[in-house]
Amino acid sequence: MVEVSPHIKQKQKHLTDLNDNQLMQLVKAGDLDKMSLLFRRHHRSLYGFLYHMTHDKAGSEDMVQNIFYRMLKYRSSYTGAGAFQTWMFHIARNVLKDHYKKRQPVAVSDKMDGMTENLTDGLTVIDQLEKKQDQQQLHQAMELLKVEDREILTLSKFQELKYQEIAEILDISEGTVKVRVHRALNELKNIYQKNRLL
Amino acid sequence: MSGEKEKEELENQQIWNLLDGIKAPEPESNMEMRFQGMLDHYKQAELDKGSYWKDLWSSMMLLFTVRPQVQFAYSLVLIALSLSAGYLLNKKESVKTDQTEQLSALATEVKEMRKMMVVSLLENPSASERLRAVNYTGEMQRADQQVIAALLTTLNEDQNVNVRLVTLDALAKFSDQPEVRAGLVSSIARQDSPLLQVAIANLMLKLQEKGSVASLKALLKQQELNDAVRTKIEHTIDKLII
Repeated sequence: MVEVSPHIKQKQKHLTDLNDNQLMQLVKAGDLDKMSLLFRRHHRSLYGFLYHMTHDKAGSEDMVQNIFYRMLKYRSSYTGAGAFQTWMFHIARNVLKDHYKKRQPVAVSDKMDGMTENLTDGLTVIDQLEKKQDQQQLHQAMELLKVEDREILTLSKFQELKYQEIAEILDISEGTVKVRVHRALNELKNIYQKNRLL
Repeated sequence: MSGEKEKEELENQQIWNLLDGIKAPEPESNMEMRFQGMLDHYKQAELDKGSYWKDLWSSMMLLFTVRPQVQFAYSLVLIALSLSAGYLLNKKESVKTDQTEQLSALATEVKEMRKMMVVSLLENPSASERLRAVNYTGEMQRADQQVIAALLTTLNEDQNVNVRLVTLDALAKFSDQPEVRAGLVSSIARQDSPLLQVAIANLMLKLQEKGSVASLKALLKQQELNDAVRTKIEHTIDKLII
């Protein structure tokens, strides 16, 4: 067996123990390779957020790269005062705003990719088709929501963030988040029901 | 009034539950490679910051590092293959067997070039180029001794964890080759990254490689082993010896 040097052992322990904030502080201090670990931890979640916001697969992938590029570029602005996730989503929202500016109206593509795999086993074929249709209509309703409503539902439902975390990202109070999630859900329901009647 | 409120709550709950069925698709697997490439270029640009001429020079050099000569040679062989194939197909008087022989000779040459490119790119200082090399092995049906040796060296010695992880995936594809399995087993003790230790334990379990138990047990003897990894390895050993 090859003996692992104490230095490597120390490094190994060090890396697993480091939280996002500590890794970002190292990036800020010039150890840019640590950004690879942050990418590994967060790129899927960011991609999910961007995809739900834009329904554009290729665009979402480009935006993820852009977000990590900006994190490198503006690393000196990272204070570590709040959660790393909050800072990351601030950058993500700015990148998203730029995306919307460039691509008005919102890209409507790749609509149904990846959303039909979750049909529950045990349902009859007709049940499954009905459920699939319901999900398609809900997906369309999500696209028709205002960006702000879609964003708050995405953060809450798909990113599974707590109200307090969302409040920090959006820079609003926790109470306001609660009200806005409820309002967005109502709006989604109204659009969805209206579409079903058409 | 409260009845209406209850109805609204119920409907909202239904919509909330229905949202569970809407999932984002998986991102492309090359995203990490793209990021690594961007990071490499960014680091290079940071190093060269300060001088316009230096910047200009590095951008020009970047063109050559991104497309090294081996890749250029590979492209030339592909062009030669296409031209020869076209020529052979149009040559009415030529005997069919001759064509087949020549085509298979060219195909062998392309395979050799690809192999050479993989082996050569694995030694490239840029992590993104090494990732690219590992990805090229995905096009191979079988890997010969030279490629396997190069991949195992990368798995054991590459400084970049991402490159080592991708290499492990690439080797997994050739796990029906005994020398690959043997190489993977002997690599267990050489891994110092918890990510790699867990990934390799998962692979051993997937392959049901009972020969790896001794190496996994040896890993457990390391006092500095991460607790989560230790639990994972113990679990893997238990499953392998059942």
